[in-house]
Order: sequence, then C-alpha cells, then structure tokens
Amino acid sequence: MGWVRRPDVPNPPIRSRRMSSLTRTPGRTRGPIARVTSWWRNGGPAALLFLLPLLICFGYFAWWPIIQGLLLSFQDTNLVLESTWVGLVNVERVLADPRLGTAVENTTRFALLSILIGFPLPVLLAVAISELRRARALAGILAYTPVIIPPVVSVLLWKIFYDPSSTGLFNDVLSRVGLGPVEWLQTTTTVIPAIVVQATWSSIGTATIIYLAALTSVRADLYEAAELDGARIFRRFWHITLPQLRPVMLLLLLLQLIGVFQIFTEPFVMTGGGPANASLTVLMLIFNYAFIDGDYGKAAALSLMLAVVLSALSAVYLAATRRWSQHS
Amino acid sequence: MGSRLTKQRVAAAGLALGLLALTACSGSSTGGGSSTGESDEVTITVGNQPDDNQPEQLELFNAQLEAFRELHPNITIEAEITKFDPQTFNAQLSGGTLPTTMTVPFTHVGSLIEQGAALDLTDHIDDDEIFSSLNPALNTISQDTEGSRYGITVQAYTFGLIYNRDLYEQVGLDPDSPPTTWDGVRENARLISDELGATGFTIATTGNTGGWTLTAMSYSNGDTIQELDGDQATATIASPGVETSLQFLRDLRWEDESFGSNVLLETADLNTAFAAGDIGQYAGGADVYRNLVTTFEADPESIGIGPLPQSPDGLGTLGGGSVSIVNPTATEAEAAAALEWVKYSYLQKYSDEDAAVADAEAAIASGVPVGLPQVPLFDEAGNEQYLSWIEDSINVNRDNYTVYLDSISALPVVAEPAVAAGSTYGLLSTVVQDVLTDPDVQAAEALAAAESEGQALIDAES
Repeated sequence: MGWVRRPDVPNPPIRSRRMSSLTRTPGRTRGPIARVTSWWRNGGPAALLFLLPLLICFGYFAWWPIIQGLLLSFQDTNLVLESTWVGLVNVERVLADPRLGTAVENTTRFALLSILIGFPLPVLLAVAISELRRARALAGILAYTPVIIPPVVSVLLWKIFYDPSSTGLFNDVLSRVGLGPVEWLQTTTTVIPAIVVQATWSSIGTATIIYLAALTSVRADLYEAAELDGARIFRRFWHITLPQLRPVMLLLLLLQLIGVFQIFTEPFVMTGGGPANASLTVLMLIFNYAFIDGDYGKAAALSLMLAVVLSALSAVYLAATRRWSQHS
Repeated sequence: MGSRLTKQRVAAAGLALGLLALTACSGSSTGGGSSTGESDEVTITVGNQPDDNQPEQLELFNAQLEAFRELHPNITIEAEITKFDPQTFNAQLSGGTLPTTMTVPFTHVGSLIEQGAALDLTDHIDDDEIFSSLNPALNTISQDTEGSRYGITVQAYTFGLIYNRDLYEQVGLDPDSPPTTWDGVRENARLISDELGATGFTIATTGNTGGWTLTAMSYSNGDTIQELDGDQATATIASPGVETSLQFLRDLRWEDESFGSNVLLETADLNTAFAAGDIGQYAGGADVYRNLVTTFEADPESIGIGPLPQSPDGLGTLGGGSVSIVNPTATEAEAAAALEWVKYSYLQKYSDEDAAVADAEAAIASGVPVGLPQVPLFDEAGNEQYLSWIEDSINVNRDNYTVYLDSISALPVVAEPAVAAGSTYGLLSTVVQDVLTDPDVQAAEALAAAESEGQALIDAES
C-alpha cells in the first residue's frame, strides 16, 4: 500500500489502533491466532453483525443466482426434465449459431455509435448549462426530464415519431424541407442510428447531472487566471474543464460501454430485433434462447460469454486509462 | 373436419351431464368418470382466475367454484390468477409454484409436451364420456406422435381473413362476400390502397407472428413448413406453398404498394391501425374479434371475418386456441380432480342451459361480446343448441362473419409444426421482414437460405 507513518505526524486518535496494525514493521509476521484475536479486539464481530443483513441479501439475491447461472451454462436443461452436465457443449452451440455473429456485430455498432453520439453530448450540455447566468436549475431539470420517463414509454413514444409513413412526426418535419420520407426503423442502414438517438435522448440527463456536479468542483481561480492570460472559451474548456472532468469522464465512459453492450429494451420494444435481425443484440439473443427456444443452458452460456468479454474489456480499459487517470 | 359423434354418444354425453346437474341439485357428488374416490380428500390449485379488473367474470368464477365445491366436497380448490407466460412457465414448474391446471395457447402445447411439462392424461380422457366427445379435429393439438393426450381443448378458432367492412363498401366491394382466393385478396388490396390510400392488406411481422402467419398462408397454398415421419421432423421451408405465400407478400409490398409503409408491425400495432380504419384486410386468428372490440374499441359493425383464402391444392387453415393442461407433478387423484374442474368450468356451458346463460350474462356485464366466431368444441348440433340457449344474450352481428362460420366445418384445421414451432416461426419472421424491407431480396432465395437453419433448429430440439 505504500503506507509509511511519518514520526512527526500524530495518528488520528480514533483510528490509531487500526493504523498501527497496518504500519507494522516489515518482517514481523503474526500467527493466525494473533490475527483472529486482533480482529476480535478491533470490533470485528460487531462489524460482521452490521454487515450480515447486506451479505445475506447480496448472497441470496445476487451471488447465489450468479453461481446458479454459471452452473446452468454447463448443463442441458429446460428447468423441467432432469439436467445433464454437458461441459462446453452449450458454448459450442452458441458459437455455431449464425445469429451470434449478427448480434455481436450489431451490438458493437450500437456501442460505437452510442459512444460517438452519447459520450461527448452530456459534457457539452453540462458545460453549456453551467455557463448560464439564469435558469441554470431549470435547464438541469429539463435535461434530466427524459430520464424520469419510464423506458418503455419513451421507446414507444419514439416509435411513433419514427412512423415510416409521410405523416410520421419526423417525416412530416423532413417533408417541410423537401426531404424524406425515411423508413427509420425499417432499413438495415438507419435502424441502429435511429435507436441510438432515442437511447441517447433518454439517458443523456443522468450523465449531464453528474458532469454538472463535477463542474462545481473545478477551481474558479483557474478560469480567472486563464481569462487574465487571454484564453478564450474553447481554450479554457480544453485546458481546464476537460482535464478537471477527466476522472469522471473515464468512469462514465466505462459505465456507458458496459451498459450499451447490454442494450435490450430499446431494440426489443421498437423493432423486435428487426428488420431481418438488423437490430438483434446479444442480450436479445440470450432472451430468445431462454424464452422463445426454452434453451436455458444456451442462454446461460451466452450470458457467461458476455460477462467474460465485458470483464476483459473493463480490465483492459482500466489498465489503459490508469496512467491518464493518475495524471489528472 | 373430422369424424362426427354418433347420436348415441351425444345422448350418452347429455345423460351424463344431466346426471351431473341432478346430483349438483341434490348436494351429493359424483366422480364423473374420474378416479377421484368420494372419500379421497384432495387439494388442487387452478389458474386463470379473473382478476379484479373483471369483477363480473370473477363473480361468475367464484360462483362456479362454490357450486363445484358442493358438487365435489372432497376436492379443495385454491384459485389463482396465474396465466400462461412462456417466460416464467418453466421456472414456475421447476420451483413448484405452477397451478395443478391452467390453460396454454395452441402454439406452446407441442413444445410443452416435448419438454415433459404436461401430464399424460390419456387414461383419464379415454375413460370420460364428455372428454372423449370433444371435436376430434381439435384433439390432435394436444397429442404426441404416439397418440397420447396431454390436454383438453377449451377454446378454439382458426386463421381467417380479417377485413374492414366499411372500407369494402367505400370502394364498392360487397362486405358479405370476402375473397376466397389470394388473387381476390390482392385485387381488393389494390383497390383499397389506390382509392382510399389505406393499407390494402398486411400482416404482423415482429416476434414470431410473421412466421406464424406465413405458416398459415402456406397451408392455404398447399404446403407445411415441416414434415413429420414418425419421430423424424424435416424442415420444408423452401417448399412451393411457402414460396408462393412469401412472394404474395413481396408483390403487395413492392409491386402493388398496397402493403402499407409500416412493415414492422406488432399484433397490437396492427389491431390499433385496423380499428382506426387504416387497414383494409389482414390475415389473423378469428379470435381477434373480441380484442378488436374490447381493447382497441373497433366498431363491431365494421369487422368482417372470412375464411383463410385457399389455392386449389390448399391444405386448410391453421388453428389456434387454448388447451387445459395438468401439472406433470400432479398425483393421479390431483389430475382427476383438475380434470373435473376443467370439465365443470369450461365445458359445462355446452351441455347445461343455466350455465350457458349465466356465462353469457357475465360476459355481457364485463363488456365482452357474446356470440364470437369460434370453432365448436363438440359437434355442430351441440353448438347450435348452445347458441340457441344464449340467443337472447348474443350482442354481435354474426351475419358479419357468416362466411367464416360456414367454412369452419368444411376447412380442415392443420396442426402446428410438431418440433421447434416457436423458433421456426421466429426464423420465418426474419425471412418475412427481409423480403418486406429489401426489394432486392427474392422470396425463393431467402427461403432456400433459411431451410438449413430451420433444420438445425429442429435437430437441436429433437
């Protein structure tokens, strides 16, 4: 941990006993009995008691189902007949499914497009709102409003906007400038961008509010100094705002990546994966395996594969951005 | 349509039901052909209880429960509102929370039998006068390849042509004479589209519905999507009947432009647009009449239903409906008790005038149309008698679908694919969407490409 107690700095009185255990002299090892005794004396049982409800809840409702899901991916089961252990057969069957390639490709397109559109927008929106002299709170509320609309409602609303007929809302607007009609959700080229725009609209508020909060911690004297040096708004944004927001941006980018790789509701409600599987995502494929085909083993196997890929992606991302984060 | 009941069997069935009613009045009970002994106490759970949003239906259900308890004091029934949901069914069964009996749609019966999720009821059914009097054409739905029976059909309809009578009149078509061929449908679609700007003909395409509808159309054009030889199923997705059906959709979409601009329709979207008068014709189950009136608030007078158009070598139409199944974990006594309940709650109205009238009156009080188009569960004579009992309660114009009703006995009901029906429908929905959204995709090529995938789905489930 790199913890070294400086002799001239006194320990805070409350944490002194715990810190002393952390800062013991290297080479002095203690036996298990001593460790247990120390844990007991340092209030371990009480802490455990406080943790117990949380551990039970997480264990029963989160970790145990995860373990069950893990086991399911190695079984041939419909939850009715007796399960049989099949090893990696489910994984092989998933890999042999021609829809997998389509689903992975679509999901990747969703992810890239979502990042391209959905990542910079809330930053810009938050900066714009923070620059407002009046009605800043109102602007924040308006930006956040789409988030409080139930997801299915907002998806169905946009489905109506995307009506492919010339009387559809967006097509009506386009027709006024001599364009369209566009079959937004019915062509393989426009369906994913159309869904991404809707998904961005409905989720942009959360990131905007987080960025707005982060912006309040940016030191005002930096801007003042930059202004005195003649820096215009773009330079101030580039050299002060962005570096100050960097840790939050990196975290939100990771969360957005993980979230968008699990996109389900929007394509499921809007297109059902169509047209011709053009908006089929990995999560929809998992849903189809389980609830259309009744093949729970295959669904669990693909879930496991997705979890492994997302974990690996997160690890690579964290490793790649660690240095940048630390510098900030 | 299948074999008819003999007069003797009908008389015997009537006698059995008469005795059943008589014993109900006297407060004693009878096994009614079941293996539940009089002294055997048994407790079962039954699903499909109406919820609080249907107070009149719930009241009728509770009255039925009360009467049943008097009739069978040894059977304790615990009712619950559980309805079939493919997303939770297996988990409920696995977790032991599935009712002893509930209804499931035709589409899922085959896969549930295959999964071992329904109890073999063959002995119970064969021993029972009422169950063995049911329309034989509907019994195949709940049979496996060896002829064992796993359910009782309690509601049935067939695929037909749903059309808007108002739009027909507006373009000068006779609303009492729906087309009987696909060429006629196409001609009418073109007329409606050209003259009114409405969608001439369309189908729901999302989920599995596109494939389900294409399958029904393929039956009418002479081919199934799967052939069964003993236990061995073979995908026949690229057969001429399927291709003709898909080509029909393609022609309407790209050549006639009478299919409408929205080709990714869910069933609810389709019915909303139909109720609003934006769609002239579509292929769908005749049971939609009820939802069109109650949920989508369509004018009942504007709804016309005709038989599914047939080519000269058409096989018939696809059936739909509900089948009561019994939980595979049920004991013999529980199964017998469950079947007694099924018989009492769903079938009694076809043999007991009071029950028929009470059921119809509760339906009217709940705002549900009475006299809906459906396939008779017993024979024609029994159906006529039932209709005469509820004549005063019928609140829909059955003349608007006379042609459909007349076709029921003449048009064979073809069973759904025996293996991997749901996933094959899903595959075909993709093909339908492909053809309808890309003018460069040819029907024959799309089907040829899908056939091997369809066979893989069958092999995976076999």
